[in-house]
Amino acid sequence: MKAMITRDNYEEYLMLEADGELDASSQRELQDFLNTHPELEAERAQWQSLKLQPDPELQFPDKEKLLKPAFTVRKRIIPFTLAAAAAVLLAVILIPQIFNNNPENNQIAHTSQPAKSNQPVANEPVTKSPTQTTKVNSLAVEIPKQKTVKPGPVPAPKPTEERSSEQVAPLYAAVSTQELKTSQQTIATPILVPYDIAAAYEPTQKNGHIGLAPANQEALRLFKDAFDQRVGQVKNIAKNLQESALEIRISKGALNVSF
Amino acid sequence: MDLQEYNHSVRQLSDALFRFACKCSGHQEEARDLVQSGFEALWRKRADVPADKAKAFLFQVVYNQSVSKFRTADRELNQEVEEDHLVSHNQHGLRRALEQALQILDPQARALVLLKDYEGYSYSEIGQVTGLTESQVKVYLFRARKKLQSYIVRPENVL
Repeated sequence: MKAMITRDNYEEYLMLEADGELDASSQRELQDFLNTHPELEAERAQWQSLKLQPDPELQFPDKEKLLKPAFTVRKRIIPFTLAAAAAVLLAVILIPQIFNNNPENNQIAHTSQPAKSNQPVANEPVTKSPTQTTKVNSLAVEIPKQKTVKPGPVPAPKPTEERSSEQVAPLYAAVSTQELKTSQQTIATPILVPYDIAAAYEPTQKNGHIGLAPANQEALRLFKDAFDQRVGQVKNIAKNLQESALEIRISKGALNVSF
Repeated sequence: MDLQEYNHSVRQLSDALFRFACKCSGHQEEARDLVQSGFEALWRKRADVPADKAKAFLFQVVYNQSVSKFRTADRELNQEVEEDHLVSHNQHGLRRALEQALQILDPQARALVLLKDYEGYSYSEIGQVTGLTESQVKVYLFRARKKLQSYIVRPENVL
């Protein structure tokens, strides 16, 4: 529909023209109107000049404060605690492997003396222990009787360099049962797991462990305490991991972290 | 809108938004606060605002805040506009007069003129930013420009 430009509404069209809001047909109509009213050209120029111009020198001074830093999503930031937990977990897994693979470096626990001169608590094979007969409800039962042997004086430990690998009792035998040979007998040491340290250094064990000198026992006890403490920390970390919905899986030699 | 698009918006739009806020508020410090709040709102809503709508979003935030904050009948004209060199000392006399005349407008009319002249928004786009209809934008703009015209042609303001 053709717009009707009159003396009553021409100013609106002049403003629309100055603002660039007129379509082509309205523009032609306005031009035709102005052609018939040339005295209105001055007003047309005035409307064109009523345009504000921005000051390019006026700039925001704190632009850098508005910028956001490099992309770091909270989920992808591994907190220090979680990184420490992963490191401790790896240490718990790797340390036994290291100790197990290099028994010559294991100088934490030593036999106090060569097996030859050591007086184990049970120095007689089980098979040779005397038995006693006890009547239980008229049924004779043979009960193997442990011969009480007073431990002899413990000689001072020899320097480390004089010991051979056979005289060193490893803390961990994670692969298989080891046979510790002495001059008198062959004692099969059981498979030890990393947490079974108490069984390893307990001198009154009846399962054939080789006893340790008090100094070495103390060292081993300190190590056990430190290790237990570390295990406790790892357990706490594991608990925190569960609560934080962070999942760490170790499979096929790879550490998978998902969150 | 991701981080890069947001930072791009900061670099591209902060100056224009600041100029708009300065003219709306008449005070540079308040304009700074308006710009910061605008970008803070954009950052919070970045997941919902596409990059090509960031400009309209920012100007809408600043417009709403400036109109609601500065719509007071007895608000005095703030002369810091000139003192803070918001108007360049090398500016043409007409331009200076227009900048002064801008302060006599009410906040809404002032914002409409700025959105049209400074940013080149169409009537339709101005309506989206301000929440007005296109017809309302035309009418309000017409009245604002008539006021500016009458201020400039006053004998005391004749150059």
